[in-house]
Amino acid sequence: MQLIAQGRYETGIAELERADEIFPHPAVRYNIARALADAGHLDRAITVYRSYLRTEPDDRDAVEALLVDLKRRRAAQLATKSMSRGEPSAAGRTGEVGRTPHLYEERIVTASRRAQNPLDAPNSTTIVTAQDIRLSGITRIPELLRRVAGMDVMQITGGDSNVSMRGSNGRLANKLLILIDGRVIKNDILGSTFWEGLAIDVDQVERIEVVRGPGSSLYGADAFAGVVNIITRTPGEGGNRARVGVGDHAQLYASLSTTGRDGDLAYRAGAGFTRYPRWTREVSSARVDLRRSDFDQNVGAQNARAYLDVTRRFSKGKRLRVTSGYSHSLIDIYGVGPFNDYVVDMDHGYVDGRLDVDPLVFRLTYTHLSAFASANAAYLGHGLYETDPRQDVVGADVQFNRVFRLLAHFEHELSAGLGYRLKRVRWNYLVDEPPTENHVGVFAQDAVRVSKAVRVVLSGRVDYVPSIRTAVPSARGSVILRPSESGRQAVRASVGTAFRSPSFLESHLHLPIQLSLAGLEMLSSSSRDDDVDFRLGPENILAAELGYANQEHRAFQVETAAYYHRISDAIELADARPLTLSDVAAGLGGINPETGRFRVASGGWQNDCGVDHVFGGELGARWYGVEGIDVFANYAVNYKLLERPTGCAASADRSTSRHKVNAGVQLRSSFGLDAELSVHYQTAQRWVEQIASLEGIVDRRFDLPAYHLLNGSVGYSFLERRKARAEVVVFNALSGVVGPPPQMHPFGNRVGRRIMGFLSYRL
Amino acid sequence: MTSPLVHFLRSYCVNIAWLSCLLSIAGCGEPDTFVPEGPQGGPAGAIAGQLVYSGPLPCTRDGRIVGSAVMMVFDRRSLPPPDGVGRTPVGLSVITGEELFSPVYHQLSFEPDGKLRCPPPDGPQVTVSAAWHVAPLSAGEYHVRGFYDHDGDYNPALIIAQLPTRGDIAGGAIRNLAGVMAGGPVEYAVIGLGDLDHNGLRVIGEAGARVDGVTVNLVLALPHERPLFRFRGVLDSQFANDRVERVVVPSDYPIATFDLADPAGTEESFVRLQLDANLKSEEQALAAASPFFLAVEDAQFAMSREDVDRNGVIDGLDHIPETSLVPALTPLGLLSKLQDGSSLRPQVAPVVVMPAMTLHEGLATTAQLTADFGEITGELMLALRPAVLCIDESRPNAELTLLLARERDDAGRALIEDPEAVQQGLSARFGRPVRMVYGCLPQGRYATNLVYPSGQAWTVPNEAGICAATETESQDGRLCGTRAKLESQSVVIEIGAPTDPVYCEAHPTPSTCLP
Repeated sequence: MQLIAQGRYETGIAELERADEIFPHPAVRYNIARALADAGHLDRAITVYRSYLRTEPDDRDAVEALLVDLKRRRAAQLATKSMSRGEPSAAGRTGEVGRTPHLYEERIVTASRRAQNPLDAPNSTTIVTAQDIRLSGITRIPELLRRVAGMDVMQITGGDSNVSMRGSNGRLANKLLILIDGRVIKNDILGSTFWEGLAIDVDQVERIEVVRGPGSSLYGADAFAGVVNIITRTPGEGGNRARVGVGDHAQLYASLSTTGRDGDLAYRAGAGFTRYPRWTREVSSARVDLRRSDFDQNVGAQNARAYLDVTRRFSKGKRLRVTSGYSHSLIDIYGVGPFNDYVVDMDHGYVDGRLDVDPLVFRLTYTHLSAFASANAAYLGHGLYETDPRQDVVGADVQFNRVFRLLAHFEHELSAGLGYRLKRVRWNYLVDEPPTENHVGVFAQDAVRVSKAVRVVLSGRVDYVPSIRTAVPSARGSVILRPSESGRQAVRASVGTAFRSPSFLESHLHLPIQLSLAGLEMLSSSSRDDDVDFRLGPENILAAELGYANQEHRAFQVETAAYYHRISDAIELADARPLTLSDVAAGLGGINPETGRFRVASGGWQNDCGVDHVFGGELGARWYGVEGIDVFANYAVNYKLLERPTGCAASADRSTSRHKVNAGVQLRSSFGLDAELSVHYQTAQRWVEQIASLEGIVDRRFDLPAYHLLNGSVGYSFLERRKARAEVVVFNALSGVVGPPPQMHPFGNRVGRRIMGFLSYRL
Repeated sequence: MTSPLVHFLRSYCVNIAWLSCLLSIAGCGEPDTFVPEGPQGGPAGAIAGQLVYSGPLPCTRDGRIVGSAVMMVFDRRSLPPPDGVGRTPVGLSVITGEELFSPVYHQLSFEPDGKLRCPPPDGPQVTVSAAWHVAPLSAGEYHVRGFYDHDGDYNPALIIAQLPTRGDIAGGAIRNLAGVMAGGPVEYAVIGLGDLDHNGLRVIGEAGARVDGVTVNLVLALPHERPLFRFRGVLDSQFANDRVERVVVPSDYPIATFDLADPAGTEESFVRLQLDANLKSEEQALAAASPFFLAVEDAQFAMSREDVDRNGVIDGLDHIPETSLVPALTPLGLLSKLQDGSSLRPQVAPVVVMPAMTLHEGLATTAQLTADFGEITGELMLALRPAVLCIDESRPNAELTLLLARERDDAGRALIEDPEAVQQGLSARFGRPVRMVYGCLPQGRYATNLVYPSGQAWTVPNEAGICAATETESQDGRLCGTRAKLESQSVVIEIGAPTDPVYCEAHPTPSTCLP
């Protein structure tokens, strides 16, 4: 921009075009168009302005007016033939200042279900940017989230990552609502997310928005501790790409994508393949005391995927987007209780249609998942629990968005919506013919701009949850202050509630679980023969947060937040209830003719009687004072105290590290070399896990030491327009140098060092 | 010692080499094996083999075969009574009747209305077999015992139903099958699992351990029901116990007279429990019905001489530990200490057992019994000894404590004729050294067990007389939840405060006998 300000248009335009190649951004394109216009290249300016308009910018009307003016000037230019060699024509100059100050200003869509500045968001929001994704070289989406302050990313196996935040770390992580372009991607069978079974890969990801704090008031059940929304690349943007990678232990990665535009129709299609080995194997090939499944013992995750995204703009404010995806995956996961080292061979597909007819947004989604799964190995005489679950979910949503002024001084951004989900699961771990669940939710949010500096956001939602036959309300209230004249600082105070509804596994479980003595079993069931009125309730959270963000300085950003969570009714495995003579009198117990085992106890689920009080805070900063160098760092602290009401024997744990530090430096050079070095450190943990023993379900304590991860990547772009790029990525570079490779969960693999080399090409 | 830097560089060189390998051939190397701490368990032991059943055809009911074959694996150092005091098998495997008798399915008969149908007593004998295996097991030495639950009344979850009953076909991994078939005592094979290390201890290697080809033979039809009993009364001239519902034995348990020249006086010195081989008449109808299904119809005790030295011969060596003049009888009487706060759960750390003296019509009569004694009777007597065995089952090689409250009676006569022989006998039976100490008995509540040589046993208290935590007891005490409560099955014997606290201060309960 400085070159352009100095009148060195051609050089300045060339630099901007190179920047657009590396990091395509609408604002960059706008500046290119304006510079071209100022330089007198009106034809090219018009072309680039049109490509800018295809990104659906907010200033569309102004730019369209500008285009009209440019066309008129072009006609006048041709008529007067006043263009001389290299001399910029006044006819093209707009006289406007370039959009440099907020060149990279992000806009987020997740915190309020509509586009907004992160400083206006009612919750702490972090963005994992396209630059972060590209420079880190990371191919696992959960690992991209590790750098976010307060996140817990736990790799248990090569195929099982569990992502949570602010003290809710656990197996089968189910406290975050994970979205792709606003579409829920968790499986309703377990209530968790199969990260390595997605139909997209990192090369399809534009950015990831992480909203910390409960989000049920907008999103309903399961936005318990926060929301993660993976935003994919816009169809028609970025060009065609191919990327392949090979690493040690037979790691493989491949991603192909093509995109294009024909007028108002744009598309993006992609396909890919990933193979991650297990970090370590639990079962060696030489074992003689057990039997193994037929699955490949070395594979942690293997995924073949395809993806199609089509958008069609009909008119201003009217757009249709249809995305579909399919993946076939083999993943090694850890469940709960006795289910560890479990392999899932699954097919997953979806179709998602979104129609924007301003001010309404309609959405229709169908998701299908079917799998064959079993334990990877079992001792002789023990079963592998082979099973073939199937899930179908249909979702329909309508949302209304409108900005209006109710009273003269108050601007309201009103959003309201209605959502419906039909969920159908068939699974032999559940009761015969579990009910098809019909979930309904209605929400509303009003963001009131009281003044230039004060904004109040109130949102509320009511969800009907069939498994608990109750309508559950959620609410959130936030006050956001912009104390500075520039508006580049924000102080945020918010209070909210959220809940997590029981998954299908928790609501309809009916599974005999073999005990250590192989001839015995415990019937684990969501219902209770000895208490017909028993109902599992939802998990509940009450959260309060105070946050501050400062983006005043062009080269420095800082954000901090302090929070309190009150978590109650956590769902856990119930204490085993030994068989009694009353059970026998009721016809229970004895030998199960289907399994050939004696039922000696009953189990299932219960809501934990204890209440967790979680106090924590996050502090993060990003500095980019030197061109081409970004430095980021954040620190998170988390304390959990357990309150035990009278008669409650809940066990306290510390599954979230008290202290976590992330830091890194990114390098971008003008000669094609770029790199990132990042470090992650977290302190020791103490886990209390429920395990099956001779005595039944018992709590056992496990300690994990502190660990660190040092990750790095170096890439070099070459060939004309830097079409090709070679990259080497190292994960956990210091593994084994200082102590053994870490476990991120007491039952998990030792997560060692992995190296991958990549070659990518842009068409 | 390699410096971290050199190790780091070496590991990188290895990784670069692997990367090069992968660039040309994807798929070099398997991940290392690491077994985390936790429930999935690491390398363990497994025993596998064939189960061979020889006996009558099974019964049928509701279109299905009644019963199943149950195989239990016991640590040789923690065998169940009468060979030890072990309570819980370390492995348990089940083969359903459907699976075991599938080859002879065509020989079975089914009632059209689904009622129980059993083969006639003189019906054909069949031999069938099926594969079986048990895992995970720790390194060690094991016995495998088992039975076919012919009448389908076995339930491992309930004390009243977790042992075989009359008509069940018992056996195990037997070393002397031919001798057993000829009527000799059973000798179980010792199955070693794991390799022997330099200390002679068995260890499981990284690949686990497995013993194949273990044949379990079920060949012995059990002739008797379990020794179901109730307490009819208590005889006590020392400590004022006059109600069997509340018997308290002092922990210092002084013995007034131990002189076989005065058998009456000697007998009077012990607290004696009078047992009947059935329930109260008013309980019997309830006990025979659901959910108890107890065999009250012709309940009797099968009393005989105990083969103490397990040599298959009843002779003068088969006597009580105290003296060679009094033969040992079965069923054995054992009092087992209960967990504090529980009426059903035995204390396991340590296991504390008081071996009682089984008497037939009194000490004098018992002393006269000959080697061929065997009688079906409706009553017997247990004399409570001033002694307990304390066993730490978590440490299989730790010594066993034989705690005696008194060394002598009030007149100074020794209570044990040959202490050395007693210790040696116990050591041989339990497979660990025995230390004899004198001190007050551990106070607490004790269950009473009667045990036949076959291992069939009965325990009071049991579920029939005790409401479970989830069963609400009715106000009149007659019901647990929705089912009846059998009061006779709730009796607990207590070891309480000493008669002479000063004695206990001088002779305290050793720590090996305390939880």
